[in-house]
Amino acid sequence: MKKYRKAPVCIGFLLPVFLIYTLFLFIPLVQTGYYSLTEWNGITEKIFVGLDNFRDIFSNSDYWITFQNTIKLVVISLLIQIPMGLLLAYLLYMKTRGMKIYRTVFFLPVVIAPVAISLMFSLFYNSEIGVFNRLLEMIGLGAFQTNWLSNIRTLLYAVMAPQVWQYIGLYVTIFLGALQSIPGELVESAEIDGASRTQIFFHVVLPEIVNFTNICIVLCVTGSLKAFEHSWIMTGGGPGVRSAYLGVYMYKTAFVNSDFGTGSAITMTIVALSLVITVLFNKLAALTRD
Amino acid sequence: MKFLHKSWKYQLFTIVKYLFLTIMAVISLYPFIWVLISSFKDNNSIFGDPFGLPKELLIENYREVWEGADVGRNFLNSMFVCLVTLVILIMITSMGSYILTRVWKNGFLSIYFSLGIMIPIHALLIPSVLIFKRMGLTDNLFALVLMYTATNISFSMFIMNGFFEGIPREMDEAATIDGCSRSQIFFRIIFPIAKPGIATVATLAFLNCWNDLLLGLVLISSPHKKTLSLAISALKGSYATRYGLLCAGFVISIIPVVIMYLLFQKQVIAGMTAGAVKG
Repeated sequence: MKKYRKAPVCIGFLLPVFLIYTLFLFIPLVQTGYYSLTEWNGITEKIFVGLDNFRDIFSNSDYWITFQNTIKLVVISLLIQIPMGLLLAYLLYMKTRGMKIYRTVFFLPVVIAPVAISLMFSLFYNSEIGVFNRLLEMIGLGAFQTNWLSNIRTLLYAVMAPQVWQYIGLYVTIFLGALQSIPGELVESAEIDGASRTQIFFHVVLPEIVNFTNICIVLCVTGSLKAFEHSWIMTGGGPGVRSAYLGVYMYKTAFVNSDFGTGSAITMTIVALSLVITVLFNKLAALTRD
Repeated sequence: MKFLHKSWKYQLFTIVKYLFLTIMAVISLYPFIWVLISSFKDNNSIFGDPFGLPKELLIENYREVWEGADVGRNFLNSMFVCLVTLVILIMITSMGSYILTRVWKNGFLSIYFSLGIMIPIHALLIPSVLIFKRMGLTDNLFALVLMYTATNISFSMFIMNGFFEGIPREMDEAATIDGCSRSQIFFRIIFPIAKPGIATVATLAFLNCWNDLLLGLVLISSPHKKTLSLAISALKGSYATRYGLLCAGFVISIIPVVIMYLLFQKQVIAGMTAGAVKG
């Protein structure tokens, strides 16, 4: 009896969020899955082609170039953001004065729109103003001056740098929160036992925050897989797809070349990739914990 | 002797530590300061003396970008879209979260609503264009509102669930005995108590909406309907060589976010690290 009295409120309260979520998130997701199996330009009739789109993209060198670029971004982000985030967080954690000010400063770039960050870095790379080139000259590395966004050897890394730089603060903050949750007695008793700073870090602190490290890695990987703005704004992914990630390649295919079928197929590979990596990593993390 | 040795090492370590932290802080902050300073300069002064202070403060850049490039309009569009999204998002997710945590626990729905955390926005772009075409909302800011609301539901419910679960059950029971209905309990008691959670959701959702580019790119086409992100990305094309002006546009676009960050830093950081801290 009581249960039925609750029903109208339950439905009334849940319906709006359920409808919006289903109509504008869940159904589109399913539709993208379906579109990936069709040949379609958005105007004419959809033609069901099975897995042909996937066969096409997997035999397309552009796909593999952007795939490689994306994987490079994942690896570089992992190698720089996570260790740097942990290092800075640990330094702040060690009774550093002005800890909150440092944290505020490190986190600032994280909240700024990637579009704005990309615009800013296009100015820095700009060959006319050449902020970077002039800085290099000032610190005596003038020999390394180059046209960062047109030199084919620096292009991709110049596009990656702002993104890697922008999100270090996110990991600093997560690790700092994790470090602060470690009971103080644990570190103190190790200090009393005469453990060195490095010993304390590797044997006391690191095991305590290993879970957070796993989460940071997943965040870092999924964040990199979604990368779009930095590449799109600074170079449009070009020349060709030289500085494009999968996200940019998908956007170009679907909205510049009006190939919705192939665009959806590329999207599905991004979704699959992030799901697989997240699940695999969680499995792996669970294994190492046992 | 050993003690002295240790303290000497300790002092050196401390110096290196602060030096390193400060260098990293400068690397994080200086780019913004450079752009801020350059936004008051003209091209001559940016080329001639890129790292110096402006000789005179050129407010002209700001006036021109606000009126000439109509960035003021785009600014208001962004504000409108973000605020409407926030109101809708907070109403619907807090009501939903209240039911799922306190009245009718449903595992299936909870998992269903959490799916969105894993979905990249790319996966919604193509269908969203077609859905809004069918709804007659092509090139309409309400299409953005609906998509921003939908894409922020998962994390909002995740954060709110945590807050609603933390409120003692006795609150509901006492209120029921006093004769409150379910909706009265929610609006008069639970919603006000959950304010910190709502503030966290609001700040993070605001950042997500304000900073979005992709959905804007595919859903909006007329210049006067563009959001600030879109306008800023277009500035690069139309004012490619007016660097002071680009800098001014940049500063305008980040001011609301920076103010918000400085005012609500605790909520911003809590929201952005919520997944990590609770997961």
